[in-house]
Amino acid sequence: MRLTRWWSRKGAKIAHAKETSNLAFEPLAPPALLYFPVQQHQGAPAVPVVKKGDEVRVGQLLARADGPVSANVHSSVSGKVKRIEPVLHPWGIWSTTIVVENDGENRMAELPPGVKDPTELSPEEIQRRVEEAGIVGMGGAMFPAAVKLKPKARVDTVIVNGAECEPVLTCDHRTMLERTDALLYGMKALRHALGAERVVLAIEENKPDAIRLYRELSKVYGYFEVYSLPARYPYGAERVLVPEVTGRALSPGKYPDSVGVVVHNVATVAAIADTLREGLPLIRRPLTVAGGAVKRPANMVVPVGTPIAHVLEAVGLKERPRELVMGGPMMGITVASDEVPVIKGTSGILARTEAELHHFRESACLRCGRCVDTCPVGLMPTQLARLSARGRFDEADRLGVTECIECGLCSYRCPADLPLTQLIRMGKREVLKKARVKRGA
Amino acid sequence: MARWIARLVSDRTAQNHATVAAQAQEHEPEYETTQVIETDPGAALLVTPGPHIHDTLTAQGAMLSVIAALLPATGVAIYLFGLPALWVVVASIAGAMATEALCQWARKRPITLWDGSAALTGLLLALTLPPTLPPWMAVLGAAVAIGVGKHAFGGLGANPFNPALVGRAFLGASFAAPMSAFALPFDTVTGATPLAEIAATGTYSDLWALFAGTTGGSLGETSAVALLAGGAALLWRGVIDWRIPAGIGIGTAAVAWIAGVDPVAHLLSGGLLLGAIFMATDWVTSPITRKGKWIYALSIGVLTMVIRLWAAAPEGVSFAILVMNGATPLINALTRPKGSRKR
Repeated sequence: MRLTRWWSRKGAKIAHAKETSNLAFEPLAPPALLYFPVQQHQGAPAVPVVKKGDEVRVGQLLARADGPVSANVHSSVSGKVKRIEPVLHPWGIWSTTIVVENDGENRMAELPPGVKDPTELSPEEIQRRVEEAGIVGMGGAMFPAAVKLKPKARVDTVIVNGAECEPVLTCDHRTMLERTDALLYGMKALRHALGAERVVLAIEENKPDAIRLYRELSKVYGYFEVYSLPARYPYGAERVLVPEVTGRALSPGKYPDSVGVVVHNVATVAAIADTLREGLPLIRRPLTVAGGAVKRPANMVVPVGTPIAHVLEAVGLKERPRELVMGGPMMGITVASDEVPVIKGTSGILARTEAELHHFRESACLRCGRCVDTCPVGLMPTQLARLSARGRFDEADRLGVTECIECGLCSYRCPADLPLTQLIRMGKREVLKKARVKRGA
Repeated sequence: MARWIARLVSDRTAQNHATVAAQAQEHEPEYETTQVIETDPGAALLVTPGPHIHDTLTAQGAMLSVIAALLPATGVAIYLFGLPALWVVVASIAGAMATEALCQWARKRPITLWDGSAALTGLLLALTLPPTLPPWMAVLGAAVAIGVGKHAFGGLGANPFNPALVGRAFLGASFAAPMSAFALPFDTVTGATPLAEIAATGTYSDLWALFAGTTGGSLGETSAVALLAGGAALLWRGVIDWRIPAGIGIGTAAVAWIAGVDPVAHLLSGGLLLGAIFMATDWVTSPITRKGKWIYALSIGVLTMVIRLWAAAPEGVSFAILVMNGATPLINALTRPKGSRKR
């Protein structure tokens, strides 16, 4: 068993750097102005339902989901809508944003009544409430959670993803330790809503305290089990996680529901519990603030819409950061300004100094094969990167470029310092764009 | 407004910057939040695609690690064979580095002597040579290794064959007599190498001498323990892939066992350990897929034994590796991992 696990291990060990794992969440008070982009999810942007000058309350709907793959946006403060205009978004786009002036009164909107036990609600009602609450995947992908509650095929297994394989980030770990009741409630709700036989909480071995805690709890409650994942990157990625936990292989281009599995991040599950239990929409975001420029690294619960400058002010800066990363150091994105807001998928804010940066100094590929060895989805990164760099996208497509999960391991491991992931990502985008054009034509 | 544009300036996203700045002009947003990071055009926030961190192993680090891992074996060789061995090492490394610089200058490429790759080729070549070889032959061998083995194919990363072995093959073909005159340790008298005895009797009378290295042979063939120590360090550093030495060992031992000769004597003698740990594991000339590495390594083991047992030459490691170097592109093409099979 040990041996087969070692033989079939994927990815690589990378430095965890999880120094904030002992720091409990601290709530952050909202600032005077909050920015709510209508695009905080994968899919169609939401449509604003308020206008300039409107009074809004905590939890009030600001923008309504547009179409089946979209998500509602709610206000995390009470106050007045100041403007609705395009504002720089963490993704580097200009997204229509509802700017709300906080009146500091914290007046609550009328929220739907909570239920003590999720099994009192019908699966359809749970799905409807999760949809209403605008909950999206909080691991970073921001896929609308409600869509995963009405799967096309029968789902028998729900995997609750507590892997948190990204270095530095510890907010999922803290969520598991501090929000036990919410997680238990949420897992029960998911099991009920999907009629699943198994709910598996998957945690990486580098969080033994969480594994121990939930092993004990699963003995008491029995409606979920705990799976201990190897502490390797990227075991939290769906395409690695699902085969590891269930033994079911995912075919190229297929989602986990094709093999009867749905994956939700622990923070998402806690948010689902908050919605069903208290009627709260997704307006608070647990995240980790770290990086060399930060004085006091922390885990925080931040109101969605808070500009990251406000978050950085709360932890203090030792020096001027050279780079601001939203998310983890492997898959996170850099933002162009400290004024972009925390959105629903922001799992971390890293203020990094020049000394922490890695500048790629490309040299010739030495064909060492470390990228091939390490690729968790079985691609040959060096080849795909070369084809992408030369614009030979059709060939890259035939060699599976669209299967890339952009985990970043190939770039991380490349001794020749080639930006492999970056090139492959570009090739993948080109191939997908071409496919979209073809479909449209 | 200006501060927005300034902070968007990044040496990597000049184009993006132009678009975003144009859009910014269009929208003219006013921002009133307290800024923590003031804008200084000289030090704008960098916008780069991830990953934002990197492993500590670099190509240069790897080359230097391999050189360091070869030092025990080199030291033992110089201790056993004295000054002539040192001259061979010095001549070979100097020849390799000089040729590297010359080729890069002639090809109008940046001169990269400090990346350690030429020095490594020189050292590896020296370790395959007999200690009594005249140093000028070592220089010539190193020049062929770097000039023909590496730069003729386009330099670092582009050579199909292990350059050091190309150099050795050239010397072996050109100077057959001095290339097969092996001094006995602490002595200038040449004698039979253990391989000759193994070929005759199927085993070796003093396996401990083979392990410690106090036998005749080329510089780096002698001390198994020094080579294994270096190999262990490289495995621990993650520079070489364990599958290659393991596969070569398995292949060699399996054929020896089937042929009824002593597998341990064959594993410890000749250039097998040097080849398995330091030559066959060369990044550039070995397959890049996991399965390919197994096929490559097992084949080297089998081929080595076939040459040793049934061919005219007493030693076959270097030719076995060269043959499998040639097969590497084919192996790569046939052993694509699951996700990247052609569709």
